[in-house]
Amino acid sequence: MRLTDFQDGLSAALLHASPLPPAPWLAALAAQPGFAVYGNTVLKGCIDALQASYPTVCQLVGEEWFRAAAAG
Amino acid sequence: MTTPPLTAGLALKPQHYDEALHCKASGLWWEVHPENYLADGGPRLAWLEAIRARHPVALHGVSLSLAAGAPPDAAHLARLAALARRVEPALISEHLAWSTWRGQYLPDLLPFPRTQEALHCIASNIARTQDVLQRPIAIENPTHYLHVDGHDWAETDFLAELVQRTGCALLLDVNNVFISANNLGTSALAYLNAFPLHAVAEIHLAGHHADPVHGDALLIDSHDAPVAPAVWALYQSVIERAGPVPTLIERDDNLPDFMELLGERDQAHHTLTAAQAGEVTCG
Repeated sequence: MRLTDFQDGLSAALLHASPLPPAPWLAALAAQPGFAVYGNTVLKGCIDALQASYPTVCQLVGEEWFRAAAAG
Repeated sequence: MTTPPLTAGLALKPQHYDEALHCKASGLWWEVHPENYLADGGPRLAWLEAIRARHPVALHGVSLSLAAGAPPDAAHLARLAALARRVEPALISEHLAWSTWRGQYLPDLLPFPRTQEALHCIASNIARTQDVLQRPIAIENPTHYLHVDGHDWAETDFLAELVQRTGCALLLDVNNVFISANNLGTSALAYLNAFPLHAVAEIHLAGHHADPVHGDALLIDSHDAPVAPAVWALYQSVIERAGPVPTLIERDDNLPDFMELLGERDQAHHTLTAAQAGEVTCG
């Protein structure tokens, strides 16, 4: 498989960006327990970055709500 | 009098800046993620420069995305080069992984099939990086959580080939080796036996934890705990074969007191000084 095709598929799957069902190779990756590790790390990293960039909003609404809203 | 060789270092955390600045442990050095210091000024950079005035510093990048089908971001690379000119690091390292794709940043170190085409792309990305930085960098073996199909190369051979093609060095993360072998059902010892140790410029050690759902079958490279005894044992076996190699204790989360971290660092320091003494005796 071409590296760019692999990256297109995996990044879309991790960002939940594709409206189409995943290709068989991607479904095989997503079915493994370790797939969630990448998904969780990417999501946590994005939320951390948002929280670091908007400290005042986070203070106003509370950290728990801020992070839950960011994850949603 | 010559400068004593680097032995064991620690990841520099903002919470420990003052203690780091004043610590006088022999052979000590510090490692930072350059991404946290890519500014033209400000307090963070001032702290880093103050520490650099007293200790060697290494830059360990996490976002160059070298294992991608596109070259590293030119603006990012230019900022990294500017930081390197400023702090004159003892070493610059990055990962055999990708994190940026089509303008989006995915904050993780992602896997890929180790194909011939990937080898060409990554060798080209490393060469481009080294051209801009005007020095070799060290490439780190990643942590694996997934069985990816379509590998043409064993990872150890892939890394050896990158060394051959680009003149890069390697960063051997022993904790990553342990976790990946555990998660993929392979042998950490076999991996280390096949690893091109001659090219290793730095070693990383860190702690991990078991996945809350899947337990020990899925270990997470969390950097939030002391180095595990099994990882120390693998490290000892590497140093016995490779000789003393500058070694870093990584800790990013669940940060303990500075003295506790320094204690772990001292354990690696003693392993390295014993290996140095052994080399002198044998030499």
